[in-house]
Amino acid sequence: MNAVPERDADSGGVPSRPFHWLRAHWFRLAIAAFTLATTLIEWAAIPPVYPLNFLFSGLSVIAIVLSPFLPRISGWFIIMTVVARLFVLDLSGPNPLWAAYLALAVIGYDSAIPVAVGALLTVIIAECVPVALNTFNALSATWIGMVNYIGMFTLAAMGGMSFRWRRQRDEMRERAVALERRQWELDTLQRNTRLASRIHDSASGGLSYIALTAQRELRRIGDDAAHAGEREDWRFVNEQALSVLDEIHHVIDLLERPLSSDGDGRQVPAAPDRHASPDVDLPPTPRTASHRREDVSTAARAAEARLARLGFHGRFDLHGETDDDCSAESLTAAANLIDEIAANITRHMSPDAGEYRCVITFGENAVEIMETNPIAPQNDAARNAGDGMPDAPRPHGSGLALHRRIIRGMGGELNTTAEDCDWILYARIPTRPGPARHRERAS
Amino acid sequence: MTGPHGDDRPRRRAHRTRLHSLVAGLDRPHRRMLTAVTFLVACIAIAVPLAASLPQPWSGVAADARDGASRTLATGSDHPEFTGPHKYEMLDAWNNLHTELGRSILEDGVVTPDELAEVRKAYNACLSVYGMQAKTITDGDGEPIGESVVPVRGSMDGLRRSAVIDQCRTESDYRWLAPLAGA
Repeated sequence: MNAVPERDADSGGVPSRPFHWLRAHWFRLAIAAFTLATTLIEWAAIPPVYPLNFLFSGLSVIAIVLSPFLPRISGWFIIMTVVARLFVLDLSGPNPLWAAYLALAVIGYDSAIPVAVGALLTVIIAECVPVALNTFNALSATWIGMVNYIGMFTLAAMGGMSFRWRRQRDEMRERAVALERRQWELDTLQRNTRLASRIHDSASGGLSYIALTAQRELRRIGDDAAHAGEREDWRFVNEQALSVLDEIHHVIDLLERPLSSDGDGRQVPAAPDRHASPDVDLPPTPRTASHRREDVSTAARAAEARLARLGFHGRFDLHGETDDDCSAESLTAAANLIDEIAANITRHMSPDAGEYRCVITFGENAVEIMETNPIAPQNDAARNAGDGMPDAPRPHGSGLALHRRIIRGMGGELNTTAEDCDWILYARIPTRPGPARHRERAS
Repeated sequence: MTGPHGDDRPRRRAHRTRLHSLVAGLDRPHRRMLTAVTFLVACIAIAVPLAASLPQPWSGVAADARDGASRTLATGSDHPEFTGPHKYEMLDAWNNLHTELGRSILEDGVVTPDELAEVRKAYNACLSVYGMQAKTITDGDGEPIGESVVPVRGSMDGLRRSAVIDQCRTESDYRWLAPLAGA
């Protein structure tokens, strides 16, 4: 019944809208067709005699035909005709019970429980009136006999309700699966972002330093024939560093790509255990906050030393103290951001342009990082290109974006701006991350 | 326009305004549905009195059976000249006929099977109003040997059912024409 024949699909392979509708409402159509068939057969065998009975029977048939399209209105319309026929003392014509069962099932399926119970009580009470009045058109001559009919009416309504409950259960299950899948995708994306950031901070920065050092050595050695072998070695080091840097950027791009937007229709891997956290593969940090603050301090000193070795002038200043409950995640994020700032200075600033300055302030609620440096003029790159030197490391452009995403996920902010030929970066990393991440997960 | 308790125009206007705001508050599909339902209800309101005013055949059968009333057609001295061995039965039937259909059938002094089927149809229509149907009983060879009436719907007790069957037989002229079929 649910198979999709190919001829019912459009030329593009997408099933047409009427076919979708038929597939979704086949059961409504089936029970309406059954009720219509029995009603018409009975009509043919015993046609209605009274004109009023003919009218109500005709209206009932129309409502049965419309029931798959306007279920609630048709259901109540059928009930109205069933009740009306009780007041016409003519038992000829089609049996109204079939239509009554259909109406109760349809209302039970499409309406709220109180409405369905209201429809059921309406039919039961109406059918009890002829029994109480002892007229010949009563369904049963005795009240005991009416119990069977009441049971049948109740079963019809309950049948409709049970189908609706089943549909609701299926919908809830589908929603839960979709939510779980989305949560898994979000967790995976966060994990990949952290991995990309870790790779970017550790490997990308180091390789940039290697390439820059090789280029500086090439400039220092010059073009004389005595150092041809040494120059060849440095050139090889520079090319290898740049090549590996490109590959790392490619890997970072792959990690940042959402899994579900695959495009070529491939299925994403099955969701892992829901208890798995994106943070589980990060090394545990059972150290105290003061030790972790030392990590930030060490990262700042190391960045300062590296930049000095490459000829950049400036300094990293640290102020304030961390609380004991300061999160390791926040301090790690701050240390990683310092590495990224130092790497960006080597890429975007010229050593002769001036001094950089970075201030790290440990507060009660947040770690604030403020960095500023002069922007390298555009013709520096042209100068490098023109002196026969190899290319400078190409910036990937996603390093700060990765850090911004992580910091925002923790509830903080990272803003950058260029004013009066100065590059300004401001970051606020909360010491106790949480609400924004919860909000993000909840959404 | 002024009611017994003063001018009610402001109240009517307020009522109209409330109705308009109620309709305006509905979105387009609901408004269309409301229009369709209103149209349907209006049609029913017109059709029901019209249908109720049309003649309702066999409606007096139960009452006639209760009080023994039986309205035969007016008889006079002008009746067909029946001949043959059943002429007295035919004359008796003629005087007891209730329907113009019965008279048109008996006018030629012959009741054919087709004519009897027509009368039987009217008899069944009368029975169906009271939830019953006449059923022909046949022998092993398929030859009709009698008939019985079976209840299909309703809750009529045996006594009333017998009375209604008798009355339907009489008022549909089946009682008088069935014995004359093939005679």
